[in-house]
Amino acid sequence: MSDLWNAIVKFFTSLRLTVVLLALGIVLVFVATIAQVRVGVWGVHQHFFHTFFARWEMGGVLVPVFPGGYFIGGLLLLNLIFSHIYRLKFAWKKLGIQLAHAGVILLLVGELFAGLLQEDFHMSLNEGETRSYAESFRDHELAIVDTTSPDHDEVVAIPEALLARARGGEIATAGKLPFHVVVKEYLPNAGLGMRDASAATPAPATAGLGQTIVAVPQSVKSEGNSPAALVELIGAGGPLGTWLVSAQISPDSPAPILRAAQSFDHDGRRWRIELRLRRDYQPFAVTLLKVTHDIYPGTTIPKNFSSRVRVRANDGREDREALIYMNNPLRYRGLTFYQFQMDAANHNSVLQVVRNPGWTLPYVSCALVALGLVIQFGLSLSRFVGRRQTAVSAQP
Amino acid sequence: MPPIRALFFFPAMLALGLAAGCREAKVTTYRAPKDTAPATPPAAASALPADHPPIAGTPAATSATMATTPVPTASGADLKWAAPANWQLAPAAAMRKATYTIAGEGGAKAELAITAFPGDVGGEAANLTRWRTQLGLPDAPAADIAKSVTRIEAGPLKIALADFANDKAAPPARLLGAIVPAGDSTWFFKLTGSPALLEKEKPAFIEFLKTLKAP
Repeated sequence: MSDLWNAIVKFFTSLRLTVVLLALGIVLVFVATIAQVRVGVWGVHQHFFHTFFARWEMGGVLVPVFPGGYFIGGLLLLNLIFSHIYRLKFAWKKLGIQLAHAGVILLLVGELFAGLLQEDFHMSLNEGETRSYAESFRDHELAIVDTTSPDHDEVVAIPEALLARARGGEIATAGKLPFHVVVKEYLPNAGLGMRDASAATPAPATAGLGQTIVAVPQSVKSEGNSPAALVELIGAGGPLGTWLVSAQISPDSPAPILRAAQSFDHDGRRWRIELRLRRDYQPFAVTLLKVTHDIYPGTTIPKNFSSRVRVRANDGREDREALIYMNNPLRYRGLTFYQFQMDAANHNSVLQVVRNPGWTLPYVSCALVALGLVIQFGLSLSRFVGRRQTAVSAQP
Repeated sequence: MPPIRALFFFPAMLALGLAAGCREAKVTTYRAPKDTAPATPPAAASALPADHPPIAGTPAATSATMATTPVPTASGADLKWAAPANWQLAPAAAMRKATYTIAGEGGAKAELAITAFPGDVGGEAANLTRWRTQLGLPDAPAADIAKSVTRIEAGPLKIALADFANDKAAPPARLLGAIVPAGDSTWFFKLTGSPALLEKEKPAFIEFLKTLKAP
């Protein structure tokens, strides 16, 4: 056991391991940068960095071909931690190196935190519009909304992953709805087309837009998909109907026919059913006051994009304005709002909303590294000056 | 044996693993404020301005994918009409049979979008509800919505003309919309823009609808 542990320690404290891992890291970053052209930024994250083995598509199948980001980063982290414990014996005169080392370890842990816990959303606002939720970039949810109250909606949100899992069966809503939800069909990516009215077979949907529109399966893409599903609702007295829900049936759709809300009445209450981007509601509301898109005079080169927003907390404890522009995000209640996209002609701005509980770690680790280096160089300098003074005073 | 001090990071790793595992998909319920409808056509809202560098590592193509979804428009012979002289025919746009822009006093603008789709496109009630949603008006019973509809006839064509206004929107919004079943298709004439300008143009819009002719 002791021999085995010694071998492990020797392996993980090896400087050679550090060099090999850094070299592998350089190759990984280079290849991923090239692959970004083909699979996009999100695809690169998934296929190269947020994985133990980098995968390359061969004949439609992703094959592991190289150590991935978690593999290289994880080993590098272990390498640093083992070196920290076994190589660097604690001594005041080595405090600087210890601190700098701890800073780099924290940086790697911070990236791991971000990879595991960070969530990205976006918030699209027209001037004058107020929203209290951000939307996921790619995850969807089936929302069954009780719209009876004139003041608010009661929402039951079912993540897309559960739709995929329940395909052909019922989703356990545990008494949250007065009817059962059965997923008759789920398509991870689908286009919509008009149904052929002269078709011999009846429409699979018996209510809503699905009577005139059909979902056509499409291949799943890494840059984002538009799912669709056939959902049957069954009340105590029998089936209420089968609806075609699709991410493309939305008030934001460019096709007018797809902007209609699919509503129905049941048991004296008004309901709406929709498949939409996953929403993340906040205890505050953001209003877009003004979008600004400046260009350099006489050119079309962009100079500045900014969004002036008003943030109002539901509890009334906060009501202030903020200007969001590139490299100047708004940080509020654990969220960071970045200027993401803009369509100044239509007075529209899209903010990227990021929740990263470990967002301070890179700053803390950089400060630790800087402090460590200052202490280390300071100690060396004082030793050097001390030796020099001794040498001068020793001269005849 | 491994020294005890080497084990300090394992609880941290375990905590990270558990934190990641807690994000399992589950059904959630919550109370939310009412949705507000988009005030401008959102199709263009996803695009970066020309020459804009990419800002962050997230897919921006979602809306573009939706915009390219094939939704067939009505084929076959088109309706014919005569538009007032002050209505400016705009360049052809995807999904539309025609677009007119109307300029009013003080920079006020309105736009008439003409589209046609096969079948009844969900029926009159569903489309009226859709228009109300676009204006940010709340959901209402079909009987109440029907009260906003005027019936007009242009030869054999039966036209349902709806007039919706949302004074509480910022800026206030108004929509004059006509639904015209013609043959196997349904035609939609949607006039939106400055409420004052729409009020002024409403008689001209009704006259315009009366000039509609089936092929």
